[in-house]
Amino acid sequence: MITARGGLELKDVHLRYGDAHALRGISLRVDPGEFVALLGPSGCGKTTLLRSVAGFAHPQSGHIYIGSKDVVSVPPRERNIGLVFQSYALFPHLTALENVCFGLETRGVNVAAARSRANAALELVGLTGFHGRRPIQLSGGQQQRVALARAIVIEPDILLLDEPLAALDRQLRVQMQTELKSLQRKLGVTTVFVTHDQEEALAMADRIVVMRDGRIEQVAPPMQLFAEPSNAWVGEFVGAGNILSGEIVVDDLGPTIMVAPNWRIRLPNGAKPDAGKALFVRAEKIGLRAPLDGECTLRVLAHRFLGVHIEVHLDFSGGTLRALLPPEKAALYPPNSHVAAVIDPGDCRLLTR
Amino acid sequence: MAAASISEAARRRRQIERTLYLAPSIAFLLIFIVLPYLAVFRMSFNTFSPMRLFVESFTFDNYVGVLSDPYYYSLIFRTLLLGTTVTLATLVLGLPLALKIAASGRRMKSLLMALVLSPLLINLVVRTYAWLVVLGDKGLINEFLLGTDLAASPIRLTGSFFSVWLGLTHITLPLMVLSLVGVLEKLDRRVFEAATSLGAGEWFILRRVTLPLVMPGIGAGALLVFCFTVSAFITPALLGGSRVGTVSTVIFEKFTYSMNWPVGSALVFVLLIINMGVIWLHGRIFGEHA
Repeated sequence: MITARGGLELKDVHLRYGDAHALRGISLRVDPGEFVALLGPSGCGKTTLLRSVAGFAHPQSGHIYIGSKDVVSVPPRERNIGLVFQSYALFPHLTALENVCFGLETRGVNVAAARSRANAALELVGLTGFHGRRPIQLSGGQQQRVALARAIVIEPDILLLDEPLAALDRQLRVQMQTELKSLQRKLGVTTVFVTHDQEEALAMADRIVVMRDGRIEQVAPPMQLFAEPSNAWVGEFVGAGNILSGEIVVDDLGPTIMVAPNWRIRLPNGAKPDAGKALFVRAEKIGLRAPLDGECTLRVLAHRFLGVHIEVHLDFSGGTLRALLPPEKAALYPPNSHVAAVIDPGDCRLLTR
Repeated sequence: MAAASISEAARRRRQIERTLYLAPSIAFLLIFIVLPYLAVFRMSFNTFSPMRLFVESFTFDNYVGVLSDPYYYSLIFRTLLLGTTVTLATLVLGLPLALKIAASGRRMKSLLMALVLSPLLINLVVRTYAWLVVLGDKGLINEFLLGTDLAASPIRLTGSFFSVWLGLTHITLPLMVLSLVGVLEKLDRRVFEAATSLGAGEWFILRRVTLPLVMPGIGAGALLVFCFTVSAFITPALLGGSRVGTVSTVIFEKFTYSMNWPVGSALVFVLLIINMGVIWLHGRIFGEHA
């Protein structure tokens, strides 16, 4: 099988379309065999970054190394990259087997060898018995598997996946996430995966690269990213985080942040009380209870049922909050009721806005 | 029971309404296409009479005459040859142009499309006369050849198969390009990127991806160009003269100068059958993929 041949490294990559900056100085190292997800809202540059590695987008400056070779001036067809698109982009006039053979044909592999390798790849992605079908005769999930087989059969140095699961329904998507991850492990191929679905990124990637506005905001393993966002924006974007801002006021017991005139939250231990910082607290860490006299009250705006939890939307004089509660707890505070929020300083982080 | 009959009545009324919407177009087709064809069809079984124009009868002589006379053979052969060569020429010229248009950015695309379509804005007769200006004995080409002493006397360029072919290729090229661009535009660009990332060069992609995918456009374009060419009248009449007759020009000649309406009518149906045969062939070849 494929063994990791090399990683990927980007050094200060800049790309402009006219006046629009798509990439503003991207530097990133992907280790051999690593699975990295590029996560960000649409327009953040994640797809442009992927296309730059594939050779279909052309950075004005910077270096892109595959293994130890700078590929910036190498045409896409010589980069030995496996590419999987959201639209699958299968050849509609060719059968599944012919689709998978295509990349071997261009490499001059003889027909018999190409067929046996293509069949092996189709088996690897769990698609046997369909090799004679055309794309139109296959379901979305099956087409996705053909696209994947077509990309890995050429034993690429890097596997690039551009939102490959976005068009599948949820159940199949979750199944494909697991399969794709274990396949990538088995092949050990260095993989870059673009997604706007953080759940997908958290579930699959060894490391997640959070992008915004052509820049990298944070690179971290999923758990660390979830627990320790590097700034307020990442905290809000990844998972249901709340950002509370206010003046820092130091009292006898130490620094607090005044999120409303009658509500101060003590800062976590060791946090440096700087202006321009905000308090980050995850939605599931917020508790609710009946308010006491003179306490800052929050109004329940709405409930959003998410299955295991109910997301309770709250607003108060200092902004809005989201709390994630079990249904039986949430039922105590119906919409339009007034509550007080309980936040343990230990669950908070002070982040740069 | 009552409810069922009401809904039945409503459905029938809706059906009648739907038919009424179609009535104008059906009436138009019936009056201006079907009836004239029937009249011509009837005419093709009459007998030609120099004195009385034609005599009402029911004979296959006109068809037998057309299909057993070497003159008509060569006429039909020349018409088919013209249709085939013009179709091939528009394909060879049109495909690179269509590929360029489909691959261009928005501005370049509209510019090229305007250029391709511009001939359609000029009257067919004017366009054909323009070729006479270029090809005639005192036309641009001959003036140049005489002026530079490359030729001692004018070279006869009009009144030949070549001049008819040239004129028809020019006139039908937009039909081919439009058919091809229409199909190329709808293709997923990612398919070509996928092919490139799999290591395919431009020729390999053209042969293994682009051409197979653009086949429906080639089929539609070829059908349009072929049928247009074999039934064209003005261009072969002006550029071919009497020496390069096609089925269409001879039909015109039969109806106007020699007044032999029955044979002219039989030729109309020979031409119709040729066109229907080509449409049938197109359906056989491209029907599955469409």
